[in-house]
Amino acid sequence: MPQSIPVSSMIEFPAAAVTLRGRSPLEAAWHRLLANRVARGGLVIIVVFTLMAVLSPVLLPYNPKVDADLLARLKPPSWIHPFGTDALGRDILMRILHGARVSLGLGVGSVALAAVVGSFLGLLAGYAGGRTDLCLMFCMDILLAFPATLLAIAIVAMIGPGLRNSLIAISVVSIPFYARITRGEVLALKEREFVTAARGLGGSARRILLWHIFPNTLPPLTVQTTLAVAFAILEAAALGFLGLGAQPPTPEWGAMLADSYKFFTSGAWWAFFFPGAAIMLSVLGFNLVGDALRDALDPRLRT
Amino acid sequence: MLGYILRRLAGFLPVLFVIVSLSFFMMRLAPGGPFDQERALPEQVRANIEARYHLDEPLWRQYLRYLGEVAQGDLGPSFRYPDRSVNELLGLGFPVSLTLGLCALAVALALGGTAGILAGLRRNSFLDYLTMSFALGGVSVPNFVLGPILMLVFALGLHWLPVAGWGTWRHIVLPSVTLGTFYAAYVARLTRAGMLEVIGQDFIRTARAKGLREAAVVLRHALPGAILPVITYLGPASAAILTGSVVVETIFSIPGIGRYFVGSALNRDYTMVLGTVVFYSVFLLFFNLIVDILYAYLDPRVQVR
Repeated sequence: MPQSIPVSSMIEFPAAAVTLRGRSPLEAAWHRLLANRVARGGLVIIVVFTLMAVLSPVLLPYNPKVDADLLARLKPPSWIHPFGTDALGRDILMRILHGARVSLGLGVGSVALAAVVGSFLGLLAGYAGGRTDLCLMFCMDILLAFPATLLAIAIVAMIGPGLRNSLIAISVVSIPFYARITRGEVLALKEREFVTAARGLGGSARRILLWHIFPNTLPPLTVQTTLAVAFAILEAAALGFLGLGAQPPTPEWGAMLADSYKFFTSGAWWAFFFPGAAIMLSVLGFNLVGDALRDALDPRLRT
Repeated sequence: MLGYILRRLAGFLPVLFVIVSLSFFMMRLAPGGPFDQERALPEQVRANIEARYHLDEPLWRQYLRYLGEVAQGDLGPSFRYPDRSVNELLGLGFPVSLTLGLCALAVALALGGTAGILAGLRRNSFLDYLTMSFALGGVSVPNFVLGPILMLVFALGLHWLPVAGWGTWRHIVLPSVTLGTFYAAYVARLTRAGMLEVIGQDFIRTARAKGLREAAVVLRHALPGAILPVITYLGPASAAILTGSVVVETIFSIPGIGRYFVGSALNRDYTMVLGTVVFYSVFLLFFNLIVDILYAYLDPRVQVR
């Protein structure tokens, strides 16, 4: 929005620059992020779910295979079972706590895998150029032509259902995004003086790529990564829901929904509601932080 | 333009070849086959079935046979539904999935567009916060949570709409809202951002100064500029909606491609999985080509080469 800048703010400008000098851009972004109330909410959600995922196996040992109690099937929430029980009489709270490890693990794990493989391919394509670049980008374009959900389902359909295969499928979906962003950054960066200087000093290609180019490709990937985790948790749950992801009796949130949605419509809302809420909240947390991170890292995009 | 289209069409062949080959070998090298059951089939029965579908031949010969058949447009027999061919099943399912997808797209644009315009016009108002909260919720609620909730409220609670199934327009409402909500939320955010960008510009002030009614200012002057980001998003979004009804079809028992696809994935029905992948690949290649051509018409800055 075009606005006339008041003279006073122009005078204050150098002063503001001085106070900011002590902070790296990353610190400044972090402070902008924490100043955002919505982002703090998202961070709290992420921390809570992460604690659930890390601590529940330690504090509350659980074996999903022997948890069934057929005398306590579909019991509504009570003191003994705060979230009620499912169709096999299993405690839903327990399964949600342990499901955090599976669902978040799938989300974070698949994104981490995609980030590593995708960045590597992007670095390779951008730095090598020529035929390597052409081949790699041809493959990435094929992958990108498929909508994410369809691609994930198709890959699982081909390599078979299961926890590990759904992790692979979800990460393959994200690889082209990382490859393309990284490649674009590399193409821009490798013409810069500091790269020429490093080469002039006799740095090997590997050293230049890893120590000079790679660190500079990270900021644009950060936002992408947070939002990708949200998406990966959703996709993993969708695969679980369809029966293509985690197999019973693994306590995975999507698979829990698939078990319980038939009973949801006949009154046993708790078996459906709590896993559904767990998925929604965790996805919301990563989405909130991702959005805020984009604003913090790139204030120009603020809307 | 014609040259561009022909060149793109020629480019489809290598892409399809790569997709078919990769899919074929991924599918066949993974463990588990369509006739693996809990109780093993008698040796002779199994041998007969495998001979019938040429599964006893070496893999490379099966691959060449499959390539040849696909090149002629024949996707083979389905292993799961023995008296149906994959072509028949896709022919049955596609119109259903397409109808559902188009309705969901309409929901996404109507709902998201309206919400985005209103939020953009009343920036930082209660309405703005409300719609943007809904939009944030919309991208965070998975459709397999939303679908059963809508089903519970509108079908089982209020009895306004049928619970599941396919046939009349009443069957389409809940599934298309379920499918469209995620995209509506995204469209709302894009429209709002576009609106905010445009509404502060000089030509809007001029339009207002001319004494135009607010509705005319918004719809005729602001909107065309504001929806540019939405139009860019529309290509990938439509592709995702038109091919993304798998979960929704499962929830609402809709006989579209998605349900056959999941069924065949669970049964390792080789031909059906491969056939669906090939079908969707062809569909998406043509779809993306059409989208690119449309962009060139809508936005004069885009030049097709």
